[in-house]
Amino acid sequence: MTLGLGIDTSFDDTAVSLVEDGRTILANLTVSQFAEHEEFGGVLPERASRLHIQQIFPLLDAAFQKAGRVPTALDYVAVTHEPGLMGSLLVGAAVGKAVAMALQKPLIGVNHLEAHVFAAWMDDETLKPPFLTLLISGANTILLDCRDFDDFRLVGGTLDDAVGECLDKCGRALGLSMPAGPALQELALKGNPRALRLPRPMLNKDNFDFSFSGLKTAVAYALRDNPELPPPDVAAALLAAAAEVLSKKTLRAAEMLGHDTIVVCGGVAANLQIREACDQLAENSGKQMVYPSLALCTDNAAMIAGLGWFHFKKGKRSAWDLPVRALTTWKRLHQPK
Amino acid sequence: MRILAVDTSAPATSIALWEDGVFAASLREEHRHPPSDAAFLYLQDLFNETGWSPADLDAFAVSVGPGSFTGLRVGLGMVKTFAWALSKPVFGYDAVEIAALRALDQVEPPSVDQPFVAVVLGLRGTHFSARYQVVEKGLMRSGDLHYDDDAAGLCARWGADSSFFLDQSAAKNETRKVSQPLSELLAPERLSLLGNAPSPAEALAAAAAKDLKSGETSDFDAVQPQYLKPFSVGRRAKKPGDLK
Repeated sequence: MTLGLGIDTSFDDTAVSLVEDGRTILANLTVSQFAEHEEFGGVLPERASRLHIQQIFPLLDAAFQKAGRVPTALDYVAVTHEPGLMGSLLVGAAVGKAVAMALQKPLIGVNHLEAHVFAAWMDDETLKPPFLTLLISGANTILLDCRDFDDFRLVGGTLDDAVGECLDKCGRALGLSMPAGPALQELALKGNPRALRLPRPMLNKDNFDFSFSGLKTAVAYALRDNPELPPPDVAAALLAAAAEVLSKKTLRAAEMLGHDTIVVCGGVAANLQIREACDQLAENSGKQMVYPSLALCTDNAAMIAGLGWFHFKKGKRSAWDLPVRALTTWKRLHQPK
Repeated sequence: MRILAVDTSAPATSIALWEDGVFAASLREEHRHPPSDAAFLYLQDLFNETGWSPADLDAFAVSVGPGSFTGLRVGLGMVKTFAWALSKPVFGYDAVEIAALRALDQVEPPSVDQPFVAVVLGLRGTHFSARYQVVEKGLMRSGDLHYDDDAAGLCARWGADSSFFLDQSAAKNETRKVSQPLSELLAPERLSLLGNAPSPAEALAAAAAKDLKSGETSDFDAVQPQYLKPFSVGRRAKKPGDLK
């Protein structure tokens, strides 16, 4: 039995988890700061950092209590060190490093986005790399070629806004509260996606990059020029446009790489319309779609402890000067012409 | 009795390992940014130097600020986690009190019954200060901690005829010419610059040792960063309302 502690403070959620053997979750606790940032219409980094340092110790206590374990029983400490808000990451990194140093346990730095991919394996251990990953969330829209859980290549990504950012901002324009994803989905179910023509940004470009700021602007202009547009129709058209671009380009990338499995993860992977579009295309081309369960799709620390276990097994250890980074740069896959 | 003390509130990280009245190892270094990379390396160096292991420690002391917001969180995160993981007491002291304690060890310390002002220089010319008095049992603070945006404000608050003890660890900020240096506003005999001995961490460790000896109990949850100064939101917008 290998017991791991996972700590994630990359953005606005403080998360602590205890996981055994990479996938048995003993405790998975998250404190959302959402209400604390609402008045600003987005996450205020300094406030996020301040809340992390207040919340993390009660959370650590609660996690060990829930799991019925003591800190000395740990085999390793995994902590998110990239990507995220620097000030927030630093809090988790300081706490993670100190737990590891105080108890003389191995420290393992984990990439938050790679951990999102690993969450799919935690859900279903038959999942084996290589496969293609579409990572969609409020901050990311990335296509990754996963050769192993510690060997990723960047296939494509957004050039401007993440798809979740676009959905949130459009949702706000429609008067929905943030995060707008679930409400937008409900609204879209009642609307007609053909009632409004929206662009499909970069759909026909000969690469695997995305762009969603234009779509956001198109929705804003449509609402400005025609305030009478029924919100359900706008939501339906918006999600249809986003889903079409995401699903078609993802399937095209899978064809190019010759992968039969596609993992869709991140918070926006919970969206019904995007899932439907992906499933439909996958069925036609014989690809298998994998979606981690909702609890592991959103930000959590269990996936950090999980991927930490994978690295631990492979003998990876981080030094005490493990740096925190705001951004991750993967090797970019060279596309065959 | 062994104590680990850490101060990451200033541009120089200060760490000390204390054992029964003697400093087994102590270090004070200007760190590269961000501080979290450096502080753990420094601490590991000190453990290697002394041959101690973290489990040998009996208590912890940390500076809770005011000072660098991020620095405080790294220092508190580090020290509180040690205390949490090893189930040992942790004591927090504010940066101005540490400066005042260090003033007592200077060549010309403040005299008994004579109030003095301890000052810590923060970023962009901010001065954090409080008035203290040497009493039989040690130090007594009268009133609250204050911050002023420049040295002139500080002098106006306390009067130019007070005696000031200035923590010069952030003195490099004075060269940034963001505000008039305190030394230009005061008569030379009114201003004492705090030297390097004892370092902030050494003063912290000594304070924690004294508190432990007098039976003071530690309150883990109460050890929180003391930011004192409000932070601004964006370059122009200063209040949440401005953003709407």
